[in-house]
Amino acid sequence: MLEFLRKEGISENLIMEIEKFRKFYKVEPNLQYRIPQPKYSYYGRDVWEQAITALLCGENILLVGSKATGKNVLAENLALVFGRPKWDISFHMNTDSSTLIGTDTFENGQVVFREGPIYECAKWGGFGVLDEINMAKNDSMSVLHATLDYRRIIDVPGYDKIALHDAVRFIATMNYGYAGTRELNEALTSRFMVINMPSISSGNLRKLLLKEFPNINQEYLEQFTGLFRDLKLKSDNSEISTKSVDLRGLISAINLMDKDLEAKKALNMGITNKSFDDFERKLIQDVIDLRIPDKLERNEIFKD
Amino acid sequence: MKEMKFLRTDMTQANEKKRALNIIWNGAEDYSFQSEFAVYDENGKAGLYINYIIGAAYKYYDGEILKDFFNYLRTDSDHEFYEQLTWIGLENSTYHKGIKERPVLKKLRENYSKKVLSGEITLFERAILNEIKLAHYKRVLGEKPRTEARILDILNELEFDEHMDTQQIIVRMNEIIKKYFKFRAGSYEFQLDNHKEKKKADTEEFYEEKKENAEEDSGYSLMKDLIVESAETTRDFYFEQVENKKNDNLIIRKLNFKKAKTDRNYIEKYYGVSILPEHKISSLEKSICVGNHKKAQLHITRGEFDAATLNDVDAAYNKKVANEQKESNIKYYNDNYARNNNSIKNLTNKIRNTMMVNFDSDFVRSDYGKIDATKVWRSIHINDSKIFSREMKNDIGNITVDILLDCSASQYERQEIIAAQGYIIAESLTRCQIPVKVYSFCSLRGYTIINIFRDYEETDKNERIFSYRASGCNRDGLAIRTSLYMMEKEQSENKILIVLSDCKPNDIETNPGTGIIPKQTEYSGIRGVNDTAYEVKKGIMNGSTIMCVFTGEDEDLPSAKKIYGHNFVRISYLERFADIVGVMLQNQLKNL
Repeated sequence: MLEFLRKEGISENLIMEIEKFRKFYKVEPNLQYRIPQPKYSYYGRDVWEQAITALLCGENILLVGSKATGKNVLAENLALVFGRPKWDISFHMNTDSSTLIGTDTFENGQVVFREGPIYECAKWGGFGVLDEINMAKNDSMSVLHATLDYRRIIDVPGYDKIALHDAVRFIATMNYGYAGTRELNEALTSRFMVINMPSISSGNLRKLLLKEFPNINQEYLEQFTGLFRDLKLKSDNSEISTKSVDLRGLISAINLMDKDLEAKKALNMGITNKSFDDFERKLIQDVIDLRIPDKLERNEIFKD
Repeated sequence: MKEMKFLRTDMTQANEKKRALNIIWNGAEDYSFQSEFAVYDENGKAGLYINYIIGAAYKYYDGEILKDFFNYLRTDSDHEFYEQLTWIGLENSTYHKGIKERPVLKKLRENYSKKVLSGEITLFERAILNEIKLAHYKRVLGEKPRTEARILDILNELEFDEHMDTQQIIVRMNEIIKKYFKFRAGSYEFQLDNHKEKKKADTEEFYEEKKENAEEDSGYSLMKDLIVESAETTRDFYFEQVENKKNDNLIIRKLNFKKAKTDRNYIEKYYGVSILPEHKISSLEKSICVGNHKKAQLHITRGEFDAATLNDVDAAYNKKVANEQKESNIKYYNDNYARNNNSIKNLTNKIRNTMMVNFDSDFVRSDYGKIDATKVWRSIHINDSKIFSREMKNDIGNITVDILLDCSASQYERQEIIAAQGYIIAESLTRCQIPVKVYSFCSLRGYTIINIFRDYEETDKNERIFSYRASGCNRDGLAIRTSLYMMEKEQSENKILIVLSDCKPNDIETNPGTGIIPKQTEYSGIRGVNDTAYEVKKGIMNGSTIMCVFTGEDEDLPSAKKIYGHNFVRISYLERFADIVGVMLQNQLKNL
């Protein structure tokens, strides 16, 4: 993985620091399985450097970006690079202190404390990924304040107070303005370093698609990259919504093409139909028509 | 029904226009590009290939130079012919440049050529142009065009090479025109000048005529062209010069109202018949028009004219003007259709989201549902069976929203914008199934006219908001008082009033004889602001939520602050309209 960072052009200093970090903090053998093996790699040097530096300095980071900007990919990649076990905590409307820190449970006729993911993460020095942090109610997250700031403690009333393991870092992700999200309150935001996740550049998208589909033709690699860029530009100018600017959808569509589905049908499913507005679909269709011919078959897109 | 159909067909046309623009922008990769050309087929559908070429030509070549060249061509009365000719050449070179980036163009071009050859694409009157065009697209399909040698000569020179730059293309184009055609530079200009002069003479005449007429206190038809938005002509004009406006349009506001016995009739002719019978209006006025508004009167209408008023010349004219403004409002909305549509979608999402997030559910302890591990011991040790938790959905409570549009003459410059904004808010709320009522207010001759566009249950009548038209003065305090009074009668738990206003209350009645403004009726400046602020506070104390979308100028911002406190927003970019109004509504809904 460090090789990958070098290829991305991350400064040698940072890579050395990461190596030191990994040497210093060992992982318990029974937690090895928690170190992620991500499917995708994150491309984007600036974001890598910002994130690595912040984590090395002991900060928690908040990744903000619209969908398909690679928030979770980066979080996984970071845990792997630093070689730390990862705890995933998906936030939702009913997230409260008991789902985060832990709750009383009943074992062998006795009430005992069942540790929540934050508690475990803190104990074992993991990386805690707080996914969609703005889905939860702000007041229910106030229990995290002492954990996330300089105090680095978890105090469970009536049970125990523990200090966080030195290697613990929290990586929160959020998509501002998604359905069901709310404003993050200041107290919580101030406990994070915030990274604005840019949407993927054409060069990086090319790398990503090539890694996913090594057998793709250069010609259509360019067309799919261009298609995504065209849609992005259109949505940036408010001519269409962001629904169809869907990287996951594009990758899935190409995957379907690899399985012999006609290109336009696949793109309809992966991209066009994500919008439910007739007129918007027409605009998206025009963009696709200016990139992909009708009745495009698999052998034209892929080499083998 | 008829009215709505008109709007819909208009919108499909607008859609195709928008589509053509989007294809051009896509080709140009520049969304600020204002294309002078766009191509539609016989059915009015935007052509994919050729519109792309128009956009791409702008990307590959210097747009400014091309534009200048087309402008130069326009000095010939036969400019359309030359434009078409240039585009045949540009198609060729742009295609060859574009094919490297987009291989799909090959197939699209072939399809387009087939359409041209089969006559599906409308050709032009000039035979020679058609010959050249057909020959060109035959070549595209790899066929040999059978035509005269001269046509082929022209075509050979016209099919620009992809390596030529903008300058070279224009030089070549000029050569072609010189060699084969008779270009009469300036011929068009000459015609145009003639035309202009004639027009100018007309206008001068008109101005003189106008002056005389003004003194005679007559004629609406003349007033119309001068953008005078006043109910009648009088001796006492008040000129307001609108800053930053090139034409220095004069808004002439009438300040001097003649009291007539038939005032109500007069108002009816202008705004439409009252929806309340005389005795109900009187009793309404008795309860509302008190205090600062003691001498004011109310007129509540739906902007409809009955048979009696329709026969009247003035009423007919007013109706005509109203219709013209309505069309202008609709046109403005359609011109920015995609943006407006997006605003509606965004705002709808924002409101829905707020309702979803803030009116979520509670969990209660129950003897069935999801098991709560922390409570299990209670069942074993103290026989408490309530060890489960169950979700209780909270009720939103019913909300009604009233939208009050200020339609005084000071809003004249922004009529289209306000109509569009009002429509966007109303439509978004409608889509969220929130009952909404939209009405406008203005004052004339001591009457405050409330024009109801759409009532709570009329979910399919949002289009009526486009009937918005600015005229007269505004007595904000009385209008808000009336709104609150009407809202009070509604049964809903949460009532929201959104006012679109420039926060410039102004309703002055001068004495026609002396020009003196009687103290008790003066309603402007600080006095008007104070009164309006008082009405708003009273409404809030009674549990209503009142907020304002500020539509005025910088100088009135302090008034807006004074009247609405923090509950107002100012829209500086229309693109951000949905976001800003959304945030404001969100905050209000949260506090309910």
